[in-house]
Amino acid sequence: MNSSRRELLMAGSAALGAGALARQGATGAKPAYNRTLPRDADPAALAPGQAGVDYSPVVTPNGVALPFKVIGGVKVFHLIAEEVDHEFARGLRAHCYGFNGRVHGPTIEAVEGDRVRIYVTNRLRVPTSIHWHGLLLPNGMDGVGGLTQRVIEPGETFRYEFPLLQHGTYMYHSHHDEMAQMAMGLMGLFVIHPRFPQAPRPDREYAFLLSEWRIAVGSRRPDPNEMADFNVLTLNARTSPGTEPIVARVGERVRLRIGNLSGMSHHPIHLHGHTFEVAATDGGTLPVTARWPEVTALVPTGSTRDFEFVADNPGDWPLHCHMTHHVMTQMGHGLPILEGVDPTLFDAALERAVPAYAAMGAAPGGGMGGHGQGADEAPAMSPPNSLAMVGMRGPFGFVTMGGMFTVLKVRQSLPEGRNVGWYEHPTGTVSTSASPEELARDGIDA
Amino acid sequence: MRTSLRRAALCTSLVLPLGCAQLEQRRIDEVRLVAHEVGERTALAFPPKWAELGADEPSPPAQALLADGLDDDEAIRVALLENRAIRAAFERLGVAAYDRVRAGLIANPLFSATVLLQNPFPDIELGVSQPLVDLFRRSLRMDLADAELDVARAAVLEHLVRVTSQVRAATLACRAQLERVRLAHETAVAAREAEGLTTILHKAGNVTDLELSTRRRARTLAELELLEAQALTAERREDLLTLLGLSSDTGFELTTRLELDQLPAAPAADLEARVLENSLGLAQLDARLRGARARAGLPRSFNVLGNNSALGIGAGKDDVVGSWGVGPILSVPIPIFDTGASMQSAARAEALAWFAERDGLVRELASTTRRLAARQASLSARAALARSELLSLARKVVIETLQQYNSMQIGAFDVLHERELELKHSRMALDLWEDAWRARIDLDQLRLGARPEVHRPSRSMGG
Repeated sequence: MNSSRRELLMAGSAALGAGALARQGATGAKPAYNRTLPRDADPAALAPGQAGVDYSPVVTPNGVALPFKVIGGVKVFHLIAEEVDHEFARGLRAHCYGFNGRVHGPTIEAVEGDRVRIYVTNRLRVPTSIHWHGLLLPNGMDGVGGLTQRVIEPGETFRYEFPLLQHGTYMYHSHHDEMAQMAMGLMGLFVIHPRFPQAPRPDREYAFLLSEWRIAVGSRRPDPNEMADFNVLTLNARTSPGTEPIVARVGERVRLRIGNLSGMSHHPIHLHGHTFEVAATDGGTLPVTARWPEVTALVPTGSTRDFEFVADNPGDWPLHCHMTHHVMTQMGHGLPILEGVDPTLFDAALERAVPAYAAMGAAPGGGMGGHGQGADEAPAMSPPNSLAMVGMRGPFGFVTMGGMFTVLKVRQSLPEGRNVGWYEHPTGTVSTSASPEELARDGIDA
Repeated sequence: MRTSLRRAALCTSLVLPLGCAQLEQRRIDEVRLVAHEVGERTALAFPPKWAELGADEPSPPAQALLADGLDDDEAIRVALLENRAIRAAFERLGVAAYDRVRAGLIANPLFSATVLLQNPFPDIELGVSQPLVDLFRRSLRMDLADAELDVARAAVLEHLVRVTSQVRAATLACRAQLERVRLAHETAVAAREAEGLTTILHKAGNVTDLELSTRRRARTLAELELLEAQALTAERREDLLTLLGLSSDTGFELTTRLELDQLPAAPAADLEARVLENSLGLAQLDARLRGARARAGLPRSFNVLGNNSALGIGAGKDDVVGSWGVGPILSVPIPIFDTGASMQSAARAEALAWFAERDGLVRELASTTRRLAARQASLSARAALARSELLSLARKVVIETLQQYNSMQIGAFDVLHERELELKHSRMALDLWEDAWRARIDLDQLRLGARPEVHRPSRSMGG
């Protein structure tokens, strides 16, 4: 099909879709926030959506998109559920569950109206099933083990096939022994682009899947039984300082697609330096007039939220969960209250009472920051395979935040590739210690 | 007459000193015999000269040893020099030696004189008699005295072996107790640091009164244990001083190092046979048995005659005529009532009693050997396990707890608690180590011939 015929078909379909929406409005029927296709449209008549043509692929930081083949007009995907040795950040690895060698699974990306055929091979040692969270599909494809299908036994491959009747940010996850299997990481994102976008496409789209884990310091496996004391919080199964920053050029419209499959926690996601709009839920796209401004928006567990904003403020801007314990990795809760006392007294007491302590050496960067290694042959400062209280190095020292934390780098121009360095602040725009003259001038008695 | 008296006096003045010299030599010979036996059994050189009795200061050789500090063998040498009980035992050996000499002597003849003053002439009777059976019983007397001397010699040896073992055990106890004091001190340090930190937190309002009181109680308990350990150190030191025979503590140092990695080797396979062969208790019983058998072997007539038989010469002056007469004197008991059978039966019963006692001691020694060998083996195995695994794991736990502390997972109190546990496990290992060596000392004492006191390790054996 040549491009002119395609454009004509697209325009005609758009008109049909717009007309359908208008008719719905006129009759008082509820608008379909997650559809741009008419309800009576036949998805089989639509060609599979093409990246770069029908949609701009999202970027899943620290992740990848699941590749597919088009066979007979159907997008064919293959997910392999298996055990994966996963790195949360350098220094912390664990035996998790994932797909296709990755935790979380690759992002499935398609277009509203596509027909998808997803093969799921179970290479775990336990049965599983996969649920397509938020998707409108035949009941038998819903993926609830025991209810809508039998479980996928180890070694089996099941086929899920259904048309995509909606657009939005969705997820997929285990729905058999899901408490344990989701706690082990068996989940991923499912992004469906609108067939007929009602608004200009964002210049950049980033997709994040939020999750939480309990990994005891020094151990190598998440604890699926944990209910309240999660200690590793992740964006796309990575924890800061292992999270990849996101970038935008000044003036670009950015969409953040955020799904939350944490077992027990909601996450108020906060963006510094910008105001964004909540543009969509997993129920659908919000009309422009219904969107509301935020700097922090809650993403409840089991939900997705799309945020949109214009990156108009250059700099390095934190993007993180605002639950303060969710930006600490492997924080312990068995400590006495140390506020109001000199913490060095504790180290001094241990040096006097415990000979082994003196042999360990000093940790660089103070109590939080980096791991220290003692002198040769001395015991390590920290248990192996741990990232307790480790933050990231910033241009001004250690950033005492880990966990569900990343950085949005907004620049006037972006270098080739993704490696954007630290923001170079214009002179006079960095907070620093006040000089005596300044204090005197402004009558500040410090 | 005068010449005869003069000759008698001259002979006496020559014989008496010679006799005394002979006695002294006999005593010296016995001491040399025992010293040689001590050397054979314990490989220790017997001191050439004892300390002066009644002196407060140790003898110069002992002072020289004390000045440089004592290892275990040197401590035993000081004990051999200064321990008054050892000296007393040797003097008692001398008693037995003198008795042996006396047993070989023929009994003195008996002179009797009776004068009755009457008219016209006093009645005078004179007599010289020699106990009759004594002449024939000299051999038995010597056999019995030999047996008693053997008993005394074995008893002295047993006492010496026991004292050397006690000295070894006492030095071991002193060294182990010093180590216990060190461990108790470090435990108290950890408890004091925990209390100090809790006090700081309490002042800042960060912990409750209950937490502070609990820490103070724990610190007080640790201090009490330290004081107890220090008091026991003084007691162990006094035990050693008593064994060394010192009237006061010269402040000497014990130089043998506390080799906590060293454990006693397994005893020899033929230990039981060696214990029986070397047993000084059995040697004493054998000697007593010999004596009893010798008495039981006497003819009844010897028993009847006893010491009342005598043969002699008598002289008397007639009180009427006034002339002297001389003639033989013979006195013997007439065996009508006492035929000597009961004495013979008693002697046989005594022999049987000694035999039964000896038999029982053989069984007891075999049992004690097995018991002590098994105890030593068990304690050594447990001490080895404690040292090779328990202590290294306790240290590993402390280090890994510190790593968790450095990772801000737990607080300093958890670390101090693990440190206290590590010290407690060190004490356990030390108790096992000391008890294993104490069992070995007991076993060695048994092997060298002396029965040990029944030593119940109080700590590691649940006592």
